[in-house]
Amino acid sequence: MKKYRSKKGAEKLSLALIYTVLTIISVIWLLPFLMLIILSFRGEQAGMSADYLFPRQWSFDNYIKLFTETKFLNWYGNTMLVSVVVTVVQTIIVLVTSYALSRLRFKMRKPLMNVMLILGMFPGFLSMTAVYFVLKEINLTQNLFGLILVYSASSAMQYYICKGFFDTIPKSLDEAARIDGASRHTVFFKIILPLAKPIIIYTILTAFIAPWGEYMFSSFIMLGNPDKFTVAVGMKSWLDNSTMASEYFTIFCAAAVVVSIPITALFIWLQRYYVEGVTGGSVKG
Amino acid sequence: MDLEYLKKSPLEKFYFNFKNFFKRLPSSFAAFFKAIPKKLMKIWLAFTGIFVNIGTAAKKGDWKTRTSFAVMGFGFICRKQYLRGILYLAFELLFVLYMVFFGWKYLVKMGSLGEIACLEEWDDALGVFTYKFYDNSLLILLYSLLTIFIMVAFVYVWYQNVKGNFLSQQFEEAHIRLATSKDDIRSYADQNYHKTLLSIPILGLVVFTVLPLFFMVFIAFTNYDKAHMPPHELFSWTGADNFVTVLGGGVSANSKIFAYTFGEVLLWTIVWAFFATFTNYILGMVVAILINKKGVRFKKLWRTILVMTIAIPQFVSLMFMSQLLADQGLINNLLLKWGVIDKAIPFLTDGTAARITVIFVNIWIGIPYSMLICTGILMNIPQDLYESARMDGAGPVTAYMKITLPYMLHVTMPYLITQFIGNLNNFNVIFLLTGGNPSSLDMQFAGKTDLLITWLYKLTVSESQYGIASVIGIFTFAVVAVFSLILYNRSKSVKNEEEFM
Amino acid sequence: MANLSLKHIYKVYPNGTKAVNDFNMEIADKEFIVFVGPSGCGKSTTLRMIAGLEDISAGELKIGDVIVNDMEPKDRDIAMVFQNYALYPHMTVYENLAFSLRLRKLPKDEIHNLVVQAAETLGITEYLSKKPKEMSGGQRQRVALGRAIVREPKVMLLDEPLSNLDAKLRTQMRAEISKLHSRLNTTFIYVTHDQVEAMTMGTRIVVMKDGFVKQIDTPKNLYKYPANKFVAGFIGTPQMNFFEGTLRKDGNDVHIKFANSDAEITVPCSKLDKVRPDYLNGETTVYMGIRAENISIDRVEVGRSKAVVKVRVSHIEELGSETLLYGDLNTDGDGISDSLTKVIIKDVGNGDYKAGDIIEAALDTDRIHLFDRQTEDCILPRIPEYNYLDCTVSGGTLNFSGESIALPPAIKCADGEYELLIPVDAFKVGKDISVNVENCEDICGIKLLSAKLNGKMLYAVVPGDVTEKSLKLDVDLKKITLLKDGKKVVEPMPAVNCLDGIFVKKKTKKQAEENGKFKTLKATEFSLETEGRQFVVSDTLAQKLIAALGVKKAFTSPLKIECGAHSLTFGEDGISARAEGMLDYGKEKFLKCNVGGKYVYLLADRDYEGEVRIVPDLDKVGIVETERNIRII
Repeated sequence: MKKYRSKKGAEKLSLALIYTVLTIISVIWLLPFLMLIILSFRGEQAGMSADYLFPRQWSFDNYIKLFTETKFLNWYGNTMLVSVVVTVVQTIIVLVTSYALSRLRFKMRKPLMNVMLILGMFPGFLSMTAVYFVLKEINLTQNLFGLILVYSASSAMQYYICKGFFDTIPKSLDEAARIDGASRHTVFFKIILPLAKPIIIYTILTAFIAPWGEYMFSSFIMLGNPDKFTVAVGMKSWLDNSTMASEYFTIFCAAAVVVSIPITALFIWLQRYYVEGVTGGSVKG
Repeated sequence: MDLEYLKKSPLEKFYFNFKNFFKRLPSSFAAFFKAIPKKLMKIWLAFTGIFVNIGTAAKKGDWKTRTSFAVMGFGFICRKQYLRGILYLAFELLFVLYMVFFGWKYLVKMGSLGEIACLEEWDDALGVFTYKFYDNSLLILLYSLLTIFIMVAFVYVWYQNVKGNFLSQQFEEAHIRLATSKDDIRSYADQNYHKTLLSIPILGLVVFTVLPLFFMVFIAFTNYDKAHMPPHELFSWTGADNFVTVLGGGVSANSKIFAYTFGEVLLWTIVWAFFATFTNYILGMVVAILINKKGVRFKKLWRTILVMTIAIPQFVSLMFMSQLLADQGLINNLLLKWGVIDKAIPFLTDGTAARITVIFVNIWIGIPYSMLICTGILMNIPQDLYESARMDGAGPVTAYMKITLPYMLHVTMPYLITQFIGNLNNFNVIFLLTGGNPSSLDMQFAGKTDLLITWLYKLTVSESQYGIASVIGIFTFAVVAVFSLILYNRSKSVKNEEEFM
Repeated sequence: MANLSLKHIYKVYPNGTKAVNDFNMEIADKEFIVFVGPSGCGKSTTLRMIAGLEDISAGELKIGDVIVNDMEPKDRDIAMVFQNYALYPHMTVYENLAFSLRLRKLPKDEIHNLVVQAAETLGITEYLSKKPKEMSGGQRQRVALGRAIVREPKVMLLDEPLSNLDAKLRTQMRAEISKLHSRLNTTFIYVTHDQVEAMTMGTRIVVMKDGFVKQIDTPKNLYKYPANKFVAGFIGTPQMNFFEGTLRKDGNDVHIKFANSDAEITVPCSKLDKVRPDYLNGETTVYMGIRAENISIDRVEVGRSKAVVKVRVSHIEELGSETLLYGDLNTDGDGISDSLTKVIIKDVGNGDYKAGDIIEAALDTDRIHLFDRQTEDCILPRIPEYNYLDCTVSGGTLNFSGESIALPPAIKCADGEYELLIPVDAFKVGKDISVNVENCEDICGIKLLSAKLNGKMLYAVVPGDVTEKSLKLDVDLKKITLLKDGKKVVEPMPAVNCLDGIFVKKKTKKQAEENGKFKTLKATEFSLETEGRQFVVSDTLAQKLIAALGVKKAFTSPLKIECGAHSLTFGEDGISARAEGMLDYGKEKFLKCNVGGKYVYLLADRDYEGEVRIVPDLDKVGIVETERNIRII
């Protein structure tokens, strides 16, 4: 009896410890975002060197400035447009490629997968210069369409997770359908796609989020044309030098909040599929 | 012998394997080299097979097939396979037109990359001197590469045309029904569906990834930099000079610094990738285990708190962090005010401190993600494993070391590998957080926290050192490729793709 | 509603492994065929080749009268039931059943009728609106069956459909599938690894192992006459008992001595007269098999029998209606380890025995199976290969069993005593010897005559039923073998001549009359080239070759052409050969000639000398592709 109690005691202690650790972790993870939100409501101009967190004056000035005095709304629109188009194109390309590589058997299947693996090892930025000049030749630099093209052109290489999902759909379903009289095309549309809802949503989600955080390509293609910046490039430009940074810091915070809200909402709504995609796709070997 | 092995303690087993590895090394090397002639033979056979096929088609083909050698698709059209025939013919016409009116001009200049870039000429209409542009090395290189790609494609299509025409002839002779245009169209939704599906993705890949990559690889052998910027200047072939420069063998003083920088950046890239990957993985797993422990309540809440941070765009959190951690940033200011410290902590301005900071910030960014993955797998570990371990007398630590960790490592190996390789090329965290800074005087255009990829970015965007940048890019590829090869070969689970189907 | 024909079907993987080897079978309409064998034996691969889900490496597959080798599965008019049901998870049962009909663009009402009808047949009407995951395994299996029957296919293929069900449900579904078969009147092909399923359901069973067909027969015949040890052990529970032993002929008895045990039994010689004599020398070890139900421990039975062995009982399994006794012929053995003296006895009476007892058991000598130790083939086949007789040769006459036949000039041997081997197919109704007919049985379509020749049993394959009591037979002397001390003195003439060849095509012009005008038409002529000569083949043969080898390989693969002595004739355009002598068998004469270093025999009407030209009759030859060793015809 005594041993039993002591065991229970130890369990309680370890639980208490775990709760403490989890609370600390939660604080560490949430605090920066809380600070971000708080700072976005700071009314006074204190720059970065302020030594306090809570604003002396709570106000919406930053938000008002954000939408009236800066090009933020413009950037937001740019990013949204790019995101939506890239999402559509990339989702289609990824699904189509994954289906072909997972379900169809053709001579070049393995070589193609190997080539894509090798291509993935080259730093993506390496090819940027050439792409830049290709785009320049067809007048697509500093142009959103050019950016869309760059983002979606190599989407095929994102096939891995989606193919992993397709691989888990039993092959006998395809075979049954083919015996039932379906062509491979019909199998794709009538059997595989309806079963691939989680991975479709995952692909949409990742494709949609990516342009919001991408800096490397967009900064290079839009170099020198602030009208065509995406939010990431634009907001980074506010903080590039310290004089601007101190003026725009709180506006930056407000912009960050505005950018984060829709994506976070979308994410929380579709969390289940995201988790499924991440865990499903990354462990399949 | 197997029983002997099983008897050994872990240390002895390790020693045994270690010894055996070296014992077997010569023979495995021998096996490797023995396999080479066989492989070469196979390639050679495939290669000669092409010519044999063409030869047979030329020798045994009837006049329709033979005409198809010059007029592509001719045999198909004669055999009433109109669609195929017309497509082949159209392709041939387009190719000829392309070569005559466009490709040819660039291809002949590929060797010199152009002779005259631009001249000042008198413009009568305006009455001033204006620049008139002639050869643009960049475009010459780009378009001649494109032309070579198209020529390769043409040769391939031509070969398919010869083979196909001959096959149609054989079918006809064997009284087998030939596929009609209608059959062809239908086959693109069935037997040839992969061609339908993959043509556009692959075209995108070739134009926007493969062609540019080849272009940049060629650029690595030119002197394309600030001083040789088309359209005003030409650049030219310089052989392996850029490689020599980066590796420290160049004559200029820069070369030594380049070599030193390359070494430093490469070393840091590997160190970074290692720490970034494993700290995230281990700590993510620990957090996942804590949340999943029996008896812990509000599991969903804890998880959602962490998952929410994934949703916030990385660039927002990274840039915000870089502001918070600046020398005059909020954190330093607060700490100074509270008297915890009396001098600002150089989070991002001291070399070593900055490196530690990026790893820690990366942990902050990455843990939710790895936690998610680990949670999914932890739930899949069969509970009876733990139960039987507990009956055998294993405590929580033993259970973790003997069951959880091996299982996790086994299952998540592919994830770990992709993470490691991703981190070798992790642009965002470094560039948005420190921008590669603090800069260093003894390094060429690179700072203490620069990775190969961010250095590459700087060399291209701010320094216009395209030639050198290409060399760095190629080396980056080599590093990534070597690590991928080693890691993929180590993990067997990657290989058995079919087994999981 | 169609018959199937599988001719020389092979599945060869790129790395050279053969998953299916020379599968030959004619399946009649409405048959229920079961492919059975351990996993990896190629049964599923064969089924999938029939379905069109796997490519056929070589051979000819016909459904109805159409060669379907290169047909897509959807065009073959077949249906398949999969092991894991393969129901479309996102569709309701109704949609699952209607899927194939919708793809065939049937009118809506007709689809509805057919679906409802199929659902009623299988009793799943109430589940029509459910999704597969809301149903139990048995219900899902019914839906899978329903999906297959709904469009009334020519052939139903079932790939281990019951192996995911529990034992009770399996028995129930087994009966239902059988019922379904009799109701639908469709050809069923059913794959399983469970011999009970095979035995209970099939009208004919194909037993396979390692890609080879081991035996094709009805369930009853498989059980009674297994062709090899594998089939014997695979069919029937408990498994057949196998022992090692030797056979020694002694007068009119054969003594069977068991290895590793003192047991010895005696069998009358007449029961083993189909066995090759060299197995009966008392030295060659063979496998003996006897089923548990053919061993009796009944006192009366034991008292009467000459084949009694002592068994040490090690373990008893009481099954209610019967008792299984596990024992060991080696009375010192433990009876547990898997030795070749272990024995299982099925006892239906209520004997009083307990573990450790040593009891006497009688073997039913009519039910003993004997197998060769190397090949594991049955050495007591239903149709023996030869009749084994003792004979003497004196002055050009062959004397055996009181009969004598004059030896033709082709057979030359010294006077003396020999062993005589006459193949069962070497007899013809004639006048040489007279026999008393005992029996004439039909074994898989072959009529085997058993007759007594002066007290000695003689077996002969005859073309039709024999009703006469006594009969006169001719012996085809070119097929006999004479042995002296185990060495061949007279060998039969080779039945098959082999020629190397290749398939070629050639363009020709031929004159044809069209609308009263003569026109030159171009055509392609196919021929087989051998020894530098080309022989035109018929279109059907050409198509077979092309279908079997593919257009690309057909004209490059080396072939072996097999032709019998009767399918070679003399002709002007023939292969050049050198005559090496005549073989005169009295009624027939054959010429032995040399073709490029190989001997070829052919029927000759007169004596030939020097160079001759011979022509093969291409409609009667066999053709084998030598590279992969694949039989085409």
